[in-house]
Formats: sequence, C-alpha cells, structure tokens
Amino acid sequence: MSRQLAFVIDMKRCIGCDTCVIACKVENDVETGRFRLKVLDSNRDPIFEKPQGVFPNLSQHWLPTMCHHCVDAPCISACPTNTLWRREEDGLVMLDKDKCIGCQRCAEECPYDALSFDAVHGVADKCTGCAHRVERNQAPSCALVCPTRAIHFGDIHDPSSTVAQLLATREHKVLAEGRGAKPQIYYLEP
Amino acid sequence: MTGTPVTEFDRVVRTVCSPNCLGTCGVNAFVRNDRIVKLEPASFPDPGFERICLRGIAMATQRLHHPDRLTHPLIRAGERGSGQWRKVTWDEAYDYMVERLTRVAREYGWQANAWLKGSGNYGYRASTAMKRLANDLGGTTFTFAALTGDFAGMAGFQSILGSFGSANDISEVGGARYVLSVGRNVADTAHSEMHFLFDAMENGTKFVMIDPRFTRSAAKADEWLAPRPGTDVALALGMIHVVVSEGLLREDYLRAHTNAPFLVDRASKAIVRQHHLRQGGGDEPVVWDTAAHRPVGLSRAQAPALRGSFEFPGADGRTIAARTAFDANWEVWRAFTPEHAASICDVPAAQIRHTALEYARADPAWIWFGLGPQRYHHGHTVARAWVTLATLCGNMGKPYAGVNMYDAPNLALAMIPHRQWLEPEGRRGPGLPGTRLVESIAAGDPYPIKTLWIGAYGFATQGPMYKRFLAEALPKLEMYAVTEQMMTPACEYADIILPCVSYYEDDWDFVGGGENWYMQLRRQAVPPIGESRNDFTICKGLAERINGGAAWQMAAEDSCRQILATHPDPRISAVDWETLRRDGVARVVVERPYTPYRDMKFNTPSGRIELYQEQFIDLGEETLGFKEQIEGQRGALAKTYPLILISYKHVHSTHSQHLMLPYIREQLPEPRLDIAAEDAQARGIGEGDFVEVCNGRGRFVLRATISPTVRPGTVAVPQGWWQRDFRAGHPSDLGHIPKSEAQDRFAETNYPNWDVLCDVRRVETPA
Repeated sequence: MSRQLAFVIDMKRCIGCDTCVIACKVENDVETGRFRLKVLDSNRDPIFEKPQGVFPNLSQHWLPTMCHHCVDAPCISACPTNTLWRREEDGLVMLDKDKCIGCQRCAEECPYDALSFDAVHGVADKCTGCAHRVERNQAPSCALVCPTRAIHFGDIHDPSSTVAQLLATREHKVLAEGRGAKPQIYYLEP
Repeated sequence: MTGTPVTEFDRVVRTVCSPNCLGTCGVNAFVRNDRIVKLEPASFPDPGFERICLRGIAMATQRLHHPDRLTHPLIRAGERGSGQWRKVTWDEAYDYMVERLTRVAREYGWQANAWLKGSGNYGYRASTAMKRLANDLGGTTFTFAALTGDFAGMAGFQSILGSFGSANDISEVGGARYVLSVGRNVADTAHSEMHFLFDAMENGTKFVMIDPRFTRSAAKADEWLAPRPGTDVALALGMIHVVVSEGLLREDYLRAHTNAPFLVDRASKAIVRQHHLRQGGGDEPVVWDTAAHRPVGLSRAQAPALRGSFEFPGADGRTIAARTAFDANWEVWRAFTPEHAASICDVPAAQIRHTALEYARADPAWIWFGLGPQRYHHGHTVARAWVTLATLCGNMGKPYAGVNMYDAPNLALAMIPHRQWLEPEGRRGPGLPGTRLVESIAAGDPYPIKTLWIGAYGFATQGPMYKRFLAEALPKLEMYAVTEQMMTPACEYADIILPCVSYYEDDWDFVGGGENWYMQLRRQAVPPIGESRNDFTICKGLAERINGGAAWQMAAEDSCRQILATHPDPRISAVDWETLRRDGVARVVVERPYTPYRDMKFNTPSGRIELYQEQFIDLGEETLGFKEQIEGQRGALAKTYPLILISYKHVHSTHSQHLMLPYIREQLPEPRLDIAAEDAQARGIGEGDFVEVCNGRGRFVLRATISPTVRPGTVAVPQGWWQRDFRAGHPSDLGHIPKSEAQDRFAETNYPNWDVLCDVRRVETPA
C-alpha cells in the first residue's frame, strides 16, 4: 500500500496556545492577516475565546485546523487549471501557484476553510504539510514546535508509525465526515 | 512571493530564549542576511526540554527589527514626556550621564544615584551589570523581588520552611500520583512544561486545578476548584480540618520534623523553653514526654505528645499552663469545617472534603504553588497554608511531593549573592526596598535620591506605581535614565535612553534553567541592531569614565567561566564549562529525583518546619488563620467598589515583552475585560462595549467581553498590555502597596497585584 501522510491531533493535549499558527507563518512566510493554519476554540472563534457552560461548570477545547489533505479532495475537482493535485507517493495535496488563476472555486468547495487567498499575487494558498520539510525527513513545522506534543504527522499506512498507533488505540474523529472527502486530519477525542 | 518557505540560511546559532517566563528554552536561530528568519527547538540532553513557544518565535523574528526598537542613545529634546528626542553618540550619552551622576554624588554622596534592575533578561552578566555598577560606584540599588508581586510567597516559605522557595523538577512530575495546582496556571504561563504533565496524566496521575478564574489549565484539569479570589487560606483550612478529623495526620512525621509538639505557654503564647522550667536551663524547646509524663527538653524526649494541654511548675515557682503548638493551631483550625470554609471561599463543602481526602491519601501528592495566590496583602499566609497542609500529610522532603513554587539554577543565581562578582574589590552600595521607591524619592527618605537608572523592567506596565512615580518622584530627579530595547511606556518620560541588545545580539552570557537543572549559553545570532550594546558594556563604559573601570576589563567568555567557577553555590560552580562551551547546554547535577528538603533540615529558628511561628505573636500570626484581604469583598470598601479585579497572565506574552509583536497581536489584538453575565447585565454592558474600570486610585477604559471564565463579583483583565492598548488609563493605576508588617520583617512588603477592588461602568465615549 502506498504511503498516506496524515496529521493526528490530540485534543486532550491541545491548549490552544497558537504556537503552531505562528510557526507555520514563519516557516512558510505567510503575510500578516492570512493563515494556513488556525486554532479554533469551542466557540469556533480563533480570537476572543470563551469556554462553554455556566460558571463553574465549564469546558473548553481547541482545534488546530489546516489543509486536511483529503483523499477525495473537493478543491482538486473544483480547480479548472490543475493548480491543485494530490501526490501519489504520500497523499499530500499540493498547490502550484504558477498555474492558479485566482478563481477561488477551491475555497468555495473546501469543507474546512483551508484555502486562503494571497490578494497581492492573486493566487490561492494553503498548507502543504510542509512538503519542503517532509522531503528533508523533517516534521512539518506545526508538529515540530507544538509545546504540548499534540500534533503528530506520519504515514498512517505504516502500522509502526506513531500516528497509526494512536489511531489504533485512541478514539478519534474527522471533521465534516458527511462531505465524503476522506480528510487526513484525525482528531483524538479530548 | 509570500507563502514560499525559506529553505536557505547563512547559519544556525544555538542560543537560549530568556525572558522572564522560567522556560529557558534552548533555540536554534536560523539566520539569513543577518536576520533571524526562523526559530526551532535546540537539542538537549533530555529531549523533554526540546521545545519552543509562540512567544519565543515571535520575539526572535519580530522584536529585533520592530518599529519601536531603539537603535541609538536618545536624549530628550523637549519637556519630559514630550516625545521629542535627539539621537546622540555613546560618547555624548556618557558625557550627559557622567555630568549628572558626579554632580549629584558631589552634592549628596554616591548613594543619591540609584539603580533598579528588573527581570526582563535572564542572562547572568546582563542581569547583574547594573547592580555591579551601583556597587562599584557606591550607588543605591532598589530591590526588585517584591515589586514583581512575588515576594509574599517567598516570605511565607521563609516563615515555615526557612527557604525562599523550592520546587521539584517538572520533568519528574510523572512520579506523582496526584497534582494539586494552587493557582499555578501552567498551560497559559509555562506551556512548554505542559507535555510533562500530559504524559503523567496519560499514566494515571490526577490533575486538580485551583484557580478563581477558568484558564487553559482548568480546561485541561481532571477537576477544577474555583475559590473566591483571596480566600485560599480558608480553602486550605477546610482541607486541613478534613485531614485532622479523618485521622489522616502523619503524626510521627509531625513529631520528628515540625515544631507541632513544642509546648506553648497559654498566657504568653511563647514556646516553653528549658529556662522556663529551671533557672539557667537554656533555650531548648520543651515538649511533653508521654513516656516520662513530664515536660522535657526536645532532645531528651522519648515520646513527645502531639496533642494535649499540660500544667507544670515553672522556674519562678508559678504554674505554667501549656499546650502543644499543634493544639494552639487547632484552636483556630477547628472552626474551619468544610461547610465554614465553603461559606468564605465558595468552593462547595463536598468538593473541599473529597479533594482533601484524595490529596491526603494520594502517594505521592505534589502541590504546585503559583504566584497568583500570594498576590494579596496576606499572601505570605497563603504560601504558609498550603505548606501546612502538605506538612500535615508528611509531604515535605518527600520525592515527587512537596509544595513546589520556584527553584532550579535560576533561583540560585538570583537569590544566592555572588559577592566576588557583584561587589568589585569588596565595594558595595546600599539597598532600599523597591516597593518604597516612590516614597523614598518623593520624601528623600531615608536619604535623598536624585537620579534613577532602570533596566530590563516594564516599569510603566508591570509595576503598581508608575502614575505616582511620574507625579511625585520624577520631579525630584535630576536624571531618569532607562536602558531598553524598545520605546516602552517606561521610556517615554526618560531624560536619556540607552539602547541595549536583545538576547540574539548578545554574545557570551549564561542562563540558569528556571524549571530545569541546566545551564545554557547565550551566543550571538546576529550583530547588534544599530548602536545598541549589551548591559555589561553599557555599564562598563560608564565606569571607565568615572573610576577608570578597572573592575570591568575582562573578556566576556573568561568572565562567564570565572563567574560559574567561583559561584558560592557548589551546584553552580560544578557546572562543566567545557561541556557548556561546546554544546551550549550543560547539566547542573543534583540528586534524583530532585527533592527539596530531602535531608529534612530546615533553616528556621527551630531547624524544623514551623507550623507555629513565635516571631509573629504580636501580629496574631503565631498560628495559621484566615484573614480577609485588605480589599476583601466582605469589607466596607466593597460597598463602593464591589468587584474584585484580577490581572492575569496569559499564553500570548511574558509580562509586557511580546504584546507589541505583530504575530502575537494577530492572535489577540487587544486586551478585554472579562465580566460575568449578571454583572454586565446589572450595569447595562453588552458584548464588546467600552467600559471604565475604576477605584479610588485610578481608572482604565477598554472593551468588555461577557465571559463565564469569572464568577459574578470578579472581573479580569489580561496583564502586560501597554498604555496605548487602553483607551484611557492603565490597570496598574488601580494598584497599591499597603504596608505588611509581617512581610517587612523578612525584607519588604510585597506588591499585592490582586488585592484590588473596583467598579465597572459602561461608557459611550471611550476616553
């Protein structure tokens, strides 16, 4: 079976500190006002967070979200120019900026709000799974810097990988499963 | 094109992130064209310490070239605070300072020139340069620990344990079965340590959080107890009551290691000593020996009674009515049933009871003591209360247990004075309490102070006194100088500003771990920005112009090696310099698991844990009791100002250092006041409305967020934001430092940041 790289994110460990958000921006030189990765809180508000419930019976969890590197990616189907494509060898969904005409149909189709629009250059942009790092056998930036060790990345088809073992032993879910895109960010339940 | 990763670098430099967050993360700075373009965790002997966080990344990549960065010495060109500056050379800057410092010294003596150094930079050479200069010249040093609001806990520790603080090593938290965090909001303030706790929790350790506010730590805890702010002693006494009532006291431990069995004279409250029993009997404390059925000196007792009242003849022939120190305490504690404690702290009695039982039965049980709980007028009693609970359960000096506040090489470097380094050729200037700075300068008490030079301190945003300083003290000063990296609000009223380097521009300094037993080396990643210089060089230049600077002529690398080798703490002096030089990180060797007081020796008057504190009889604090805070919600002032104001630390910044950085502001663009729905409703406040927060000392204006994170009656504002982030005023304007007699006996009164009442109202025009 070919490799399938995936993120496994432990919601029990994520504290919503936004280290991954900032490291992603630094690693990929993402300009102010735009993100490849966001951390939502329980209210799905990335800025002024609030827990759920009534004092003192409160709960709060956080959800880092970026490109879900879907196996059946709606953005690829929607793209008229082959800007977006899925790498056969490891399943990462890639984006060739020089082919992008800026129509933003990918952003409309993405269930995860993962496409952002680089207004300066008129092109779409998104998380590549830090493909440039993966090619050097380095972890994606978000996984490298996570202070709580909440973000894991690896080949879920390799049973000896940390990600495969986490999925084998922990309850998990994907987001918007009903959309049928077969997303490759798995969230370990809090 | 943005969105294109940077993959080519000129060099990668290992150094250490060192703001005042205790994390001391080793970092690899990736440099291209003399700019840091990326930061990654550096390698560590223990991979658990390979980590960084959002603050460190933003600091390295955006602070060095920030628009507010200071690049040249500046002398004011208009009135103080006019914002008009003249760029000058270092020679001009030194001429300006030397002229004023020497004039003041001639007229009033060198002690009239004062220095105040904050904790914004952990580099040892950097952080000690000002004190060293003050000593070299005979100037005054204002102390800093109490200004930070951290000193009450230290005083509390000192009173009961004879130590300014102690803590286990966080990487060993997995050895604990139960972690009770008392206001130690580890997830927000020490996120890099959080994975150790998660590892422990995955292996079955229970994590219980006590905090008046719902935090990231509370969200991650197995259970959260939410006391009314300032009532922790009542909560702890409720738990103590359960421990005693349920027979969970470790009685042999109390007899052997505490002063609980000492006999206390009911009339004088003094500890009964041998000379009370017979003339010339000496000072040895007396206990009731249940084997001999009589009072005997501690060293000769076979079976000291822990409880009980006893009468026996004294040296003067009169009968002494005495009881054990434990029973003297119990007279106070017996009232604090969980129900009574609950009526004060508002944690349900059932929760107090089961938490006490779980804590007392867990083995080992680790208490984490944060600094928030001691930021009240009676904050020293809060530290004492939790250490008392731990002691009753036999947890002090036990591996993976204890009450853990602050320790590691950082504490040793900060608290154990290295005289050979700090006092050139034995010269030493006087010290004054930093928390009395405004009064000292304004009244010339105890002697005139005519210049003040501060550094590494967010004076305007972190202290309680900047507004008063400007009004009462600054007009008395002939020079107010600030060493800074950024044009902070503390700089705005300066006469002269000296630009200093960030950690990434400095070379050869060392940083002691704040929560880990490592020493790390600071090496230069990029050249100094503009004309900025490191603190040591700035002070050296001044000394050279005044006394020739003989004490400052050494190579930086040599001085690092020598400071370490000659440090009075043998754990520090044993650090292997060659390892540190080669790897950038070296172990500070301690016994494992690291366990403070493992030898059960305590530097207290009795050499034991002092559950009874004879030196505070006159203050009514010989026993541990609950006192309403000075601005407690049950006092008279609460009729005018009914809300408690908490200023909390949060994940985005260490104090004021990071909040100006674009990456950080993108995540949190402004401070907001958290207010409970019913308090907001009663005041007609809606989500995002502008509100004024005020008390008799000051006011500030910002937007409100209606939030369940605070209980009704409490409002909370994030700490560290600058004046410009508020529409008017600043939270620090509401602060105060009412004198604490008990804390003054240890050193000085602590700044009780959280002991503040206020009221809130909606404002139409935010100004």
